[in-house]
Amino acid sequence: MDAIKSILQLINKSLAGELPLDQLYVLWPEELAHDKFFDTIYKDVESVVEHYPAKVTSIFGSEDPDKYFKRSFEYRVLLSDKELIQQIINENLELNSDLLLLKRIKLIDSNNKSVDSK
Amino acid sequence: MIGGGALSGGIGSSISGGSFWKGFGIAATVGVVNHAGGELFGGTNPPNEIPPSADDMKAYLAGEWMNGTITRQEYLNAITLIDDGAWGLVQQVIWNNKTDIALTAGGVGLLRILSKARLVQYPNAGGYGIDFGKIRIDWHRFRIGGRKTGSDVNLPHVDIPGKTKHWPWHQLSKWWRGVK
Repeated sequence: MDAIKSILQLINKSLAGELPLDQLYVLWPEELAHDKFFDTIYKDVESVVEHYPAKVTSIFGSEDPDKYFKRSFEYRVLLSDKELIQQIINENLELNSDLLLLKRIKLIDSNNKSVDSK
Repeated sequence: MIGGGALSGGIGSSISGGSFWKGFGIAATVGVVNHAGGELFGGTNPPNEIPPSADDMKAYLAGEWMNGTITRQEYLNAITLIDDGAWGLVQQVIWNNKTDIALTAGGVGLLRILSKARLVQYPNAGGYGIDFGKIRIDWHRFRIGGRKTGSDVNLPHVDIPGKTKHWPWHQLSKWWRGVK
Protein backbone atom coordinates (compact mmCIF):
# COMPACT_ATOMS: atom_id res chain seq x y z
CA MET A 1 0.00 0.00 0.00
CA ASP A 2 2.93 2.35 0.64
CA ALA A 3 3.96 2.00 -3.00
CA ILE A 4 0.45 2.96 -4.16
CA LYS A 5 0.44 5.94 -1.80
CA SER A 6 3.77 7.07 -3.24
CA ILE A 7 2.29 6.80 -6.75
CA LEU A 8 -0.56 9.07 -5.62
CA GLN A 9 2.03 11.59 -4.40
CA LEU A 10 3.85 11.41 -7.72
CA ILE A 11 0.56 12.02 -9.57
CA ASN A 12 -0.18 15.06 -7.38
CA LYS A 13 3.30 16.46 -7.95
CA SER A 14 3.10 15.91 -11.71
CA LEU A 15 -0.33 17.57 -11.93
CA ALA A 16 1.17 20.58 -10.12
CA GLY A 17 4.12 20.62 -12.52
CA GLU A 18 6.55 19.96 -9.68
CA LEU A 19 8.00 16.64 -10.83
CA PRO A 20 11.07 16.70 -13.11
CA LEU A 21 11.45 13.79 -15.52
CA ASP A 22 14.62 12.45 -13.83
CA GLN A 23 12.87 12.25 -10.47
CA LEU A 24 10.02 10.27 -11.96
CA TYR A 25 12.42 7.62 -13.25
CA VAL A 26 14.06 7.32 -9.82
CA LEU A 27 11.03 7.64 -7.54
CA TRP A 28 8.61 5.28 -9.31
CA PRO A 29 8.20 2.25 -7.00
CA GLU A 30 10.09 -0.70 -8.39
CA GLU A 31 7.76 -3.32 -6.83
CA LEU A 32 4.93 -2.22 -9.15
CA ALA A 33 7.11 -1.85 -12.25
CA HIS A 34 5.94 -5.09 -13.87
CA ASP A 35 2.22 -4.66 -13.22
CA LYS A 36 0.20 -3.92 -16.38
CA PHE A 37 -2.15 -1.49 -14.64
CA PHE A 38 0.58 0.48 -12.85
CA ASP A 39 2.70 0.49 -16.01
CA THR A 40 -0.20 2.25 -17.78
CA ILE A 41 -0.41 4.75 -14.90
CA TYR A 42 3.35 5.30 -15.20
CA LYS A 43 3.00 6.15 -18.89
CA ASP A 44 0.19 8.61 -18.09
CA VAL A 45 2.31 10.30 -15.40
CA GLU A 46 5.31 10.39 -17.77
CA SER A 47 3.17 12.07 -20.47
CA VAL A 48 2.00 14.76 -18.04
CA VAL A 49 5.54 15.40 -16.76
CA GLU A 50 6.90 15.66 -20.30
CA HIS A 51 4.13 17.94 -21.54
CA TYR A 52 3.49 20.15 -18.53
CA PRO A 53 3.44 23.61 -20.16
CA ALA A 54 5.34 26.67 -19.00
CA LYS A 55 4.63 28.99 -21.92
CA VAL A 56 1.90 28.68 -24.54
CA THR A 57 1.83 30.90 -27.62
CA SER A 58 -0.48 30.97 -30.61
CA ILE A 59 -0.77 33.34 -33.59
CA PHE A 60 -3.24 35.32 -31.46
CA GLY A 61 -0.71 35.86 -28.65
CA SER A 62 0.20 34.12 -25.41
CA GLU A 63 -2.21 31.88 -23.56
CA ASP A 64 -2.61 30.91 -19.91
CA PRO A 65 -0.57 27.67 -19.56
CA ASP A 66 -2.76 26.45 -16.69
CA LYS A 67 -5.96 26.72 -18.76
CA TYR A 68 -4.23 25.07 -21.70
CA PHE A 69 -2.99 22.23 -19.47
CA LYS A 70 -6.43 21.63 -17.94
CA ARG A 71 -7.92 21.26 -21.42
CA SER A 72 -5.32 18.70 -22.42
CA PHE A 73 -5.99 14.99 -22.96
CA GLU A 74 -3.08 14.06 -20.65
CA TYR A 75 -4.46 16.10 -17.74
CA ARG A 76 -7.94 14.59 -18.01
CA VAL A 77 -6.58 11.04 -18.17
CA LEU A 78 -4.30 11.52 -15.18
CA LEU A 79 -7.13 13.07 -13.18
CA SER A 80 -9.15 9.88 -13.78
CA ASP A 81 -6.10 7.79 -12.80
CA LYS A 82 -5.81 9.79 -9.58
CA GLU A 83 -9.47 9.15 -8.79
CA LEU A 84 -8.98 5.42 -9.31
CA ILE A 85 -5.79 5.27 -7.21
CA GLN A 86 -7.65 7.09 -4.43
CA GLN A 87 -10.42 4.48 -4.67
CA ILE A 88 -7.84 1.68 -4.42
CA ILE A 89 -6.42 3.25 -1.26
CA ASN A 90 -9.72 4.23 0.39
CA GLU A 91 -11.85 1.21 -0.57
CA ASN A 92 -9.11 -1.43 -0.57
CA LEU A 93 -9.90 -2.45 -4.14
CA GLU A 94 -8.55 -5.79 -5.33
CA LEU A 95 -5.26 -5.32 -7.25
CA ASN A 96 -6.38 -7.15 -10.37
CA SER A 97 -4.67 -5.47 -13.33
CA ASP A 98 -7.24 -6.42 -15.95
CA LEU A 99 -10.18 -5.30 -13.81
CA LEU A 100 -8.43 -2.07 -12.86
CA LEU A 101 -7.57 -1.32 -16.50
CA LEU A 102 -11.22 -1.83 -17.42
CA LYS A 103 -12.32 0.41 -14.56
CA ARG A 104 -9.81 3.05 -15.70
CA ILE A 105 -11.18 3.10 -19.25
CA LYS A 106 -14.76 3.43 -17.97
CA LEU A 107 -13.75 6.21 -15.60
CA ILE A 108 -11.91 8.17 -18.32
CA ASP A 109 -14.89 7.73 -20.62
CA SER A 110 -17.44 8.94 -18.07
CA ASN A 111 -15.22 11.88 -16.99
CA ASN A 112 -14.77 12.90 -20.64
CA LYS A 113 -18.52 12.75 -21.19
CA SER A 114 -19.19 14.93 -18.14
CA VAL A 115 -16.57 17.47 -19.32
CA ASP A 116 -18.04 17.49 -22.84
CA SER A 117 -21.59 18.02 -21.53
CA LYS A 118 -20.52 21.13 -19.52
CA MET B 1 -29.87 45.27 -68.29
CA ILE B 2 -26.25 44.22 -68.63
CA GLY B 3 -25.23 46.42 -65.70
CA GLY B 4 -28.05 45.30 -63.39
CA GLY B 5 -27.34 41.60 -63.86
CA ALA B 6 -23.61 42.16 -63.59
CA LEU B 7 -24.00 44.16 -60.39
CA SER B 8 -26.01 41.42 -58.71
CA GLY B 9 -23.54 38.85 -60.05
CA GLY B 10 -20.66 40.76 -58.54
CA ILE B 11 -22.43 41.07 -55.20
CA GLY B 12 -23.36 37.37 -55.27
CA SER B 13 -19.80 36.43 -56.06
CA SER B 14 -18.29 38.58 -53.36
CA ILE B 15 -20.81 37.25 -50.79
CA SER B 16 -19.80 33.70 -51.64
CA GLY B 17 -16.14 34.58 -51.11
CA GLY B 18 -15.12 35.22 -54.72
CA SER B 19 -13.81 38.35 -56.37
CA PHE B 20 -16.45 40.98 -56.96
CA TRP B 21 -15.02 41.96 -60.36
CA LYS B 22 -14.83 38.36 -61.60
CA GLY B 23 -18.45 37.79 -60.60
CA PHE B 24 -19.32 41.04 -62.31
CA GLY B 25 -17.58 39.87 -65.50
CA ILE B 26 -19.36 36.50 -65.58
CA ALA B 27 -22.78 38.01 -65.03
CA ALA B 28 -22.01 40.73 -67.61
CA THR B 29 -21.31 37.96 -70.14
CA VAL B 30 -24.76 36.52 -69.63
CA GLY B 31 -26.17 40.04 -69.92
CA VAL B 32 -24.23 40.63 -73.15
CA VAL B 33 -25.58 37.44 -74.74
CA ASN B 34 -29.14 38.32 -73.78
CA HIS B 35 -28.56 41.88 -74.93
CA ALA B 36 -27.17 40.64 -78.29
CA GLY B 37 -30.28 38.52 -78.83
CA GLY B 38 -32.50 41.49 -78.03
CA GLU B 39 -30.60 43.96 -80.27
CA LEU B 40 -30.41 41.66 -83.26
CA PHE B 41 -33.96 40.43 -83.20
CA GLY B 42 -36.43 42.93 -81.97
CA GLY B 43 -34.81 45.12 -79.36
CA THR B 44 -37.54 46.55 -77.13
CA ASN B 45 -40.23 45.39 -79.59
CA PRO B 46 -41.94 42.04 -79.05
CA PRO B 47 -39.38 39.28 -79.61
CA ASN B 48 -39.02 37.88 -83.07
CA GLU B 49 -40.48 34.43 -83.66
CA ILE B 50 -37.15 33.12 -84.96
CA PRO B 51 -34.42 33.00 -82.29
CA PRO B 52 -30.98 34.36 -83.29
CA SER B 53 -28.52 31.76 -84.54
CA ALA B 54 -25.26 31.11 -82.72
CA ASP B 55 -23.28 32.54 -85.63
CA ASP B 56 -25.33 35.76 -85.59
CA MET B 57 -24.74 36.10 -81.86
CA LYS B 58 -21.00 35.50 -82.32
CA ALA B 59 -20.77 38.05 -85.13
CA TYR B 60 -22.59 40.63 -83.03
CA LEU B 61 -20.36 39.95 -80.01
CA ALA B 62 -17.23 40.25 -82.17
CA GLY B 63 -18.47 43.67 -83.26
CA GLU B 64 -19.12 44.69 -79.65
CA TRP B 65 -15.60 43.60 -78.69
CA MET B 66 -14.12 45.58 -81.62
CA ASN B 67 -16.13 48.65 -80.57
CA GLY B 68 -14.80 48.31 -77.05
CA THR B 69 -18.28 47.82 -75.55
CA ILE B 70 -17.19 44.51 -74.00
CA THR B 71 -13.77 43.28 -72.92
CA ARG B 72 -11.86 40.41 -74.54
CA GLN B 73 -12.54 38.21 -71.50
CA GLU B 74 -16.27 38.96 -71.65
CA TYR B 75 -16.26 38.18 -75.39
CA LEU B 76 -14.48 34.83 -74.83
CA ASN B 77 -16.81 33.94 -71.95
CA ALA B 78 -19.85 34.76 -74.06
CA ILE B 79 -18.57 32.58 -76.94
CA THR B 80 -18.03 29.71 -74.48
CA LEU B 81 -21.53 30.25 -73.11
CA ILE B 82 -22.97 30.03 -76.65
CA ASP B 83 -20.86 26.98 -77.67
CA ASP B 84 -20.70 24.95 -74.46
CA GLY B 85 -23.57 26.26 -72.31
CA ALA B 86 -23.46 27.48 -68.70
CA TRP B 87 -21.44 24.50 -67.39
CA GLY B 88 -18.81 25.06 -70.07
CA LEU B 89 -18.50 28.69 -68.97
CA VAL B 90 -18.14 27.67 -65.32
CA GLN B 91 -15.39 25.18 -66.27
CA GLN B 92 -13.57 27.83 -68.31
CA VAL B 93 -13.71 30.38 -65.50
CA ILE B 94 -12.44 27.76 -63.00
CA TRP B 95 -9.63 26.75 -65.37
CA ASN B 96 -8.61 30.35 -66.09
CA ASN B 97 -8.45 31.09 -62.36
CA LYS B 98 -7.02 27.76 -61.20
CA THR B 99 -3.91 29.30 -59.62
CA ASP B 100 -5.93 31.88 -57.68
CA ILE B 101 -8.39 29.20 -56.55
CA ALA B 102 -5.61 26.83 -55.44
CA LEU B 103 -3.77 29.60 -53.60
CA THR B 104 -6.95 30.75 -51.88
CA ALA B 105 -7.89 27.19 -50.82
CA GLY B 106 -4.32 26.54 -49.66
CA GLY B 107 -4.22 29.85 -47.81
CA VAL B 108 -7.53 29.20 -46.04
CA GLY B 109 -6.36 25.69 -45.06
CA LEU B 110 -3.04 27.00 -43.78
CA LEU B 111 -4.78 29.75 -41.80
CA ARG B 112 -7.10 27.19 -40.20
CA ILE B 113 -4.15 25.01 -39.19
CA LEU B 114 -2.15 27.99 -37.90
CA SER B 115 -5.08 29.31 -35.85
CA LYS B 116 -5.25 25.96 -34.02
CA ALA B 117 -1.48 25.61 -33.50
CA ARG B 118 0.13 26.36 -30.14
CA LEU B 119 3.83 26.64 -29.46
CA VAL B 120 4.39 25.10 -26.03
CA GLN B 121 7.44 25.07 -23.78
CA TYR B 122 7.97 21.94 -21.64
CA PRO B 123 10.24 22.85 -18.71
CA ASN B 124 10.20 19.41 -17.05
CA ALA B 125 11.43 17.68 -20.20
CA GLY B 126 13.59 20.56 -21.46
CA GLY B 127 11.97 21.09 -24.83
CA TYR B 128 9.29 22.57 -27.03
CA GLY B 129 6.40 21.38 -29.14
CA ILE B 130 3.81 22.52 -31.62
CA ASP B 131 0.34 21.35 -30.70
CA PHE B 132 -2.11 21.12 -33.61
CA GLY B 133 -4.97 19.82 -31.47
CA LYS B 134 -5.13 16.13 -32.28
CA ILE B 135 -1.46 15.80 -33.20
CA ARG B 136 1.70 17.25 -31.70
CA ILE B 137 5.20 17.69 -33.06
CA ASP B 138 7.54 17.74 -30.06
CA TRP B 139 11.23 18.01 -29.39
CA HIS B 140 12.19 17.21 -25.81
CA ARG B 141 14.03 14.74 -23.63
CA PHE B 142 12.54 11.28 -23.11
CA ARG B 143 13.70 7.77 -22.26
CA ILE B 144 13.59 4.86 -24.67
CA GLY B 145 14.34 1.21 -24.01
CA GLY B 146 12.66 0.88 -20.61
CA ARG B 147 12.45 2.98 -17.46
CA LYS B 148 15.45 1.54 -15.61
CA THR B 149 17.64 0.21 -18.39
CA GLY B 150 16.79 2.68 -21.15
CA SER B 151 18.73 5.71 -22.28
CA ASP B 152 17.77 9.36 -22.44
CA VAL B 153 17.44 10.93 -25.85
CA ASN B 154 16.47 14.39 -27.06
CA LEU B 155 14.85 13.94 -30.45
CA PRO B 156 12.03 15.40 -32.51
CA HIS B 157 8.99 13.13 -32.54
CA VAL B 158 5.26 12.96 -33.12
CA ASP B 159 2.67 12.39 -30.40
CA ILE B 160 -1.00 11.62 -30.93
CA PRO B 161 -2.45 11.90 -27.40
CA GLY B 162 -4.04 8.63 -26.33
CA LYS B 163 -2.71 6.76 -29.36
CA THR B 164 0.97 7.22 -30.16
CA LYS B 165 3.90 8.38 -28.09
CA HIS B 166 7.41 9.39 -29.18
CA TRP B 167 6.86 8.24 -32.78
CA PRO B 168 8.92 6.76 -34.41
CA TRP B 169 11.64 6.26 -31.77
CA HIS B 170 9.61 4.23 -29.25
CA GLN B 171 8.31 1.95 -31.99
CA LEU B 172 11.78 1.51 -33.51
CA SER B 173 13.29 0.74 -30.11
CA LYS B 174 10.61 -1.88 -29.39
CA TRP B 175 11.13 -3.44 -32.82
CA TRP B 176 14.91 -3.46 -32.26
CA ARG B 177 14.53 -5.13 -28.85
CA GLY B 178 11.93 -7.58 -30.14
CA VAL B 179 9.28 -6.25 -27.71
CA LYS B 180 5.63 -6.34 -28.80
